[in-house]
Amino acid sequence: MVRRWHFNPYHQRIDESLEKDPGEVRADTEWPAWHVFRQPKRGEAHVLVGMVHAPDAETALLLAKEQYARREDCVNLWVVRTDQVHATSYEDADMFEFVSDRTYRLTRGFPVGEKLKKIKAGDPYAERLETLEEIEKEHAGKKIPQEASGDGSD
Amino acid sequence: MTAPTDPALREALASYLLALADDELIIGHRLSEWTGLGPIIEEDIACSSMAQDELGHSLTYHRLRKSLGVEEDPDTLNFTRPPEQFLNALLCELPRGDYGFTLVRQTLYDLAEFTRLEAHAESSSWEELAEASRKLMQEEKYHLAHGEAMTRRLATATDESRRRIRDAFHELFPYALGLFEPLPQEELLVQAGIKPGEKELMDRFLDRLDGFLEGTDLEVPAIRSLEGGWEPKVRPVFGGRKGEHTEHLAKLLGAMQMLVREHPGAQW
Repeated sequence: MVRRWHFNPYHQRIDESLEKDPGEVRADTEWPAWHVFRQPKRGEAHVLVGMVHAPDAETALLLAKEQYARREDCVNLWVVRTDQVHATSYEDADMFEFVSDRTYRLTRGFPVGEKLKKIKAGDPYAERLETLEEIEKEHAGKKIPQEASGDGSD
Repeated sequence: MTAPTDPALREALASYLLALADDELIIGHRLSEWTGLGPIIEEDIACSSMAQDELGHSLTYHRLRKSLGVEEDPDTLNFTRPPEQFLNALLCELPRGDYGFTLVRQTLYDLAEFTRLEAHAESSSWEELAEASRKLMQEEKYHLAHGEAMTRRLATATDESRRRIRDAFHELFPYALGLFEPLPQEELLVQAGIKPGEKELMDRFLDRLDGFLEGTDLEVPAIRSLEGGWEPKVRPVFGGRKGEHTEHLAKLLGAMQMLVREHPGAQW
């Protein structure tokens, strides 16, 4: 193989990695996949951040630390073997669609009530009342806005 | 105590810090040579990230030197010094070898570094060094966990992986002892309570190594003496702390210093 010379020493390795490439990947030497969940602060939820391949949980945690917690805040990591996750099928995705008016399930009144109390108590942001009422009117009878539907209070 | 005022002691301390900074810089560079070539992508990233950590540790020692009043700029030092002015132990400059070799070297280095940092943190009379060491230990905790877990797994897995780890261990062990080569002015630092003697650090390192090797078919090539210290069965490879290096360092510096040599004063 003719070696190409690159000015950047890191690029020298492209040739080296091509030389070492086994050409095929054997499935029986692949490690299982793990989903990684990172908790940015104590008390906050663990959030799915990605995956690693590792032979066991201890190694998965070690590798996950460098992949997913070297720049962001982290106090705790979880790893879960991907084949241990139970999931719905995309074929059944239609069961999540809204086919009828669900606005009666919304709890938008509660945050507004809180704000009304503040306004009555002389909150300097009282002008927001107008905006909120406008939003209420605007959305009455329309499809539910995403951010307002996540309260799980059905 | 605050930074020492005695000129001889300051000079001894500045050399000691430079030796540690050079260890970190050179082993960090070797570790970075896995970027793009790691055996699996996760290890590739882990090595690259730990290489950056080691450079950060190196910078910490340069900052401590600055607080002693050393004026030299770390970039100028690292990118223009000839090999014979580097004080790193020879362990750090050996070529990267196969992945088993890298892991064993890294584990030996991290065990030694942790031992040293712990000694600084617990008992250095120079508070700034103790404080910096406590910070570095936080990062070193992960390095050690990573190196130990990977090395132990390979040391107890297949015939091939055991052979590679064993060969690397026996080749590297005398070099690892070289991390404890005393500098010429060692006595001044010990008397001032800034650090324990290198022999004492080496004994603590071998205790730690002995614990780590438990459960593998490797053992420390040294005899435990009745007083609790160790007598190595092999000759430590010294020289690095006096600037006597292998030809590998010159090659490494050739790659590391190339840009700066070809374009002196160039701005990034």
